[in-house]
Amino acid sequence: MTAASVIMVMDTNITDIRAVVAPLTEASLCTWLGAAAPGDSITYHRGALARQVCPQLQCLPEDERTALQRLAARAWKLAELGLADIVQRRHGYEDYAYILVARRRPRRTASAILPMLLAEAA
Amino acid sequence: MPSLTFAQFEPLHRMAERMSHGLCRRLGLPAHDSEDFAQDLLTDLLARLPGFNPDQGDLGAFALTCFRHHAALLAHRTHRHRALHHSTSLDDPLPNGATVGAVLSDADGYGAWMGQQTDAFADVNRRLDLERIADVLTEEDAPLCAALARGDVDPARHAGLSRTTAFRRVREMRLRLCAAGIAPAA
Repeated sequence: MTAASVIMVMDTNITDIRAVVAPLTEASLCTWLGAAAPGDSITYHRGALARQVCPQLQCLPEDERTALQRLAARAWKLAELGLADIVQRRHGYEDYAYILVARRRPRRTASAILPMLLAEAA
Repeated sequence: MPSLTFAQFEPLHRMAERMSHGLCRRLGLPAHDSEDFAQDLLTDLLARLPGFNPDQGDLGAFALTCFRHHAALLAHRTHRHRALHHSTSLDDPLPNGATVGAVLSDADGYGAWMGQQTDAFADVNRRLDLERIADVLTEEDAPLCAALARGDVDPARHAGLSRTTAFRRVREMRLRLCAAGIAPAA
């Protein structure tokens, strides 16, 4: 293998299957979390979330504000389900990075639906 | 059309038989099913015969149109029945001449007959996926999932939900499945 071909191989981009294309949506956030390893993190928003989702302040156009509100609510739900932690990092005045960190998944949890299906089958 | 003579009926019968043979071949069904199909086609034609107007065209053309429409309906019914019930008989012939029963072993189990994979690794993966799905779905999702799996015409109504609520529930389930790592839900 020549030096040129080695450089070419080293420069080849390897596609990251966990990479998320912008803009981030609820579906892409969930898909990312589904493929994420424990400890992986993603910044789902940068700015002042509470101000930007407030309809009275009109910081963002209506559709962008709705999308951001849904995204933030989805991140909160994922945290409530115990699949991720949400943290924020302060960069400056009203400039925060809102970060979702994937948690380790429990190996086995008691399913709510399986006992019901078994009872129906019996 | 007041009556149909034997001389008029004979070519229609042959036409129905030809069409039913073709239908059986396309659907991969055994040859003896073609007799049933031919009877279905002819019965449908006889039921529609009062609507035939000789001034508007030939009886053969009318019969061909009826046969084509009914053959399409029979094919659709057969596909739907297969999709819902996986009705594969062990005696069903395969394209290579063998039967379904001849290529399955007892060790493959009932799942192989139902068209599932018999690969052990794929089986473990499937079981892990199902466990993850079972963790994600809740009791209130069960009626809607059952209605969707049965292929009901109006799954929302069968699950006791409005269409809007059902669509929201499906969207929510898809997102939860994605978050659990079930990629096909995306």
